[in-house]
Amino acid sequence: MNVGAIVESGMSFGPYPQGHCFHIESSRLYGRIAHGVKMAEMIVLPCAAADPPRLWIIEAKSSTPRPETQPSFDDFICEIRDKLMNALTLLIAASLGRHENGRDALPETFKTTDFAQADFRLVLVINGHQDAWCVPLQDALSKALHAAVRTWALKRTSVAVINDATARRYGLIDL
Amino acid sequence: MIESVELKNFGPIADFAWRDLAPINLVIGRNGTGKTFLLKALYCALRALEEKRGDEPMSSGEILDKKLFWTFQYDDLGDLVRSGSAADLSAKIMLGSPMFPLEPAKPLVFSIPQNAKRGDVRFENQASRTPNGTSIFIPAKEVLSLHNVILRTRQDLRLFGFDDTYLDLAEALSHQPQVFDYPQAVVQPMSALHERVGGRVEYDFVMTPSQGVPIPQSVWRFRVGDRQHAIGLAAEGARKLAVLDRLLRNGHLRRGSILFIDEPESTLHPEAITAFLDVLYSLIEAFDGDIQIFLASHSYFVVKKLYLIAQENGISIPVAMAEGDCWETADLKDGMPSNPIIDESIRLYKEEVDLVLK
Repeated sequence: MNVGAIVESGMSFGPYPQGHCFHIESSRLYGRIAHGVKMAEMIVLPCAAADPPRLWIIEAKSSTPRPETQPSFDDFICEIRDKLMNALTLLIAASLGRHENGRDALPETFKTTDFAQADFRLVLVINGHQDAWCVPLQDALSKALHAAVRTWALKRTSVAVINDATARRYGLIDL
Repeated sequence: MIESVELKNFGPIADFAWRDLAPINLVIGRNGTGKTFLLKALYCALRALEEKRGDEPMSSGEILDKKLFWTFQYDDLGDLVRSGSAADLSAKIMLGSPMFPLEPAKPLVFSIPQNAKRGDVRFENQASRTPNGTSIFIPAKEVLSLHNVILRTRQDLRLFGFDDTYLDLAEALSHQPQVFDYPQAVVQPMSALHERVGGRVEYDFVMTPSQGVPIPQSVWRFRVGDRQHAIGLAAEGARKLAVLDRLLRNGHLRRGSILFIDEPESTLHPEAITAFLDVLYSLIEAFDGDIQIFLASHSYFVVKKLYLIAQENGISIPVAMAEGDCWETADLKDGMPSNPIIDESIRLYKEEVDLVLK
């Protein structure tokens, strides 16, 4: 069974093959902890055969503040950072069995994925943004996620801020 | 102030027209497209008017001929005409005055025929510069550590090497300060700029023994707090900024000045670049718009900062963009222009995204 397309911020993500997408917001696991915990939309395993396995943690937005409108821009970047990291933490916590029936909440393919070796990518997709507007956001989000990238031993090139056109080109939306 | 420019067959510039110029104007483009050439051409034309003062016996046309020779340092005057062009070099610069806005701008026109020799500049002028009008060219390279070398090789030895933009600046820097404080609007941004470079450069006369007889010699010193260092120990950025500081203090940069700055970003950290541009904008405010600045740049930071200045203050900052032989004009008030500097930042961004997602 495929996971049906997930519509977020005016973009249609997927559909992805069965077991390849953990739509966090609609999961019972997140429902139990949602109060006061901001969360990214989904985690996608685009190719089960990839070695090491690659997972995209995805947050979608329909707009962003301009870089010069501080502090709202800084607050926005912090919010995205928190959502992406909370999603990664929840996935690992569930996988370790720290939540009651937490592993059962994960898609089947995720249950057999070696997260210790996995290659996580943290992706913000903004609907309708021009490439030029994504450039400072990419720099700002990479800076905000610097500590997380180091402590989770992620690749230096793990953070991307893209628009809907780029997301389509890389197979995230409108599949 | 320059209101519009038209150049044809001027060195690398085939056909260029730039209208509705403002207090701050930006030229961007790849290497070899003629950005510096454009600034130097305007500088020479203005200096031809400004140096015709007092008892100067040469006409402005003769001064222009000499200025072009020592600025572009060619073998023959005709070398300035765009190679392969069948037509003559021509320039038309419309000069107006912010003090008399109702008076129409007047033309400064000159042309140079193919195969021209020295003295063949055709000069027609109806424009004038006020006695206060000084044009200053700040080249990309810093000049303080070369100050005495520039004066010696050009004034004494009359050698090619440093062109007239360097010589004129070195002579302007030799003048002692007349004022101790900047105009009010400039104090805060200049202070922020000095903080960015960690000190300031000062110019002293010292008595140096020569065969037992002390003689006065001019030296530049770098001061950090109470300590002084030799100029060679100062960062290049500090030396560059000291030029602006000195020109303001000795009155060469003043109401009515037209300032040309080639690659303001060279030797400066991005933080210092933005502080430097804040100082330039403060000059516009301090002199009520009766000063004009032309910048040629390769820097994303320069374009971005000027764009923000235009947006925050609601002012026009015309930009001329060279792409090969073609020139386009735009205004930073209307947004960031599409150009190779911006395109390269986007290309690098896409390269990074590809590393993340491929």
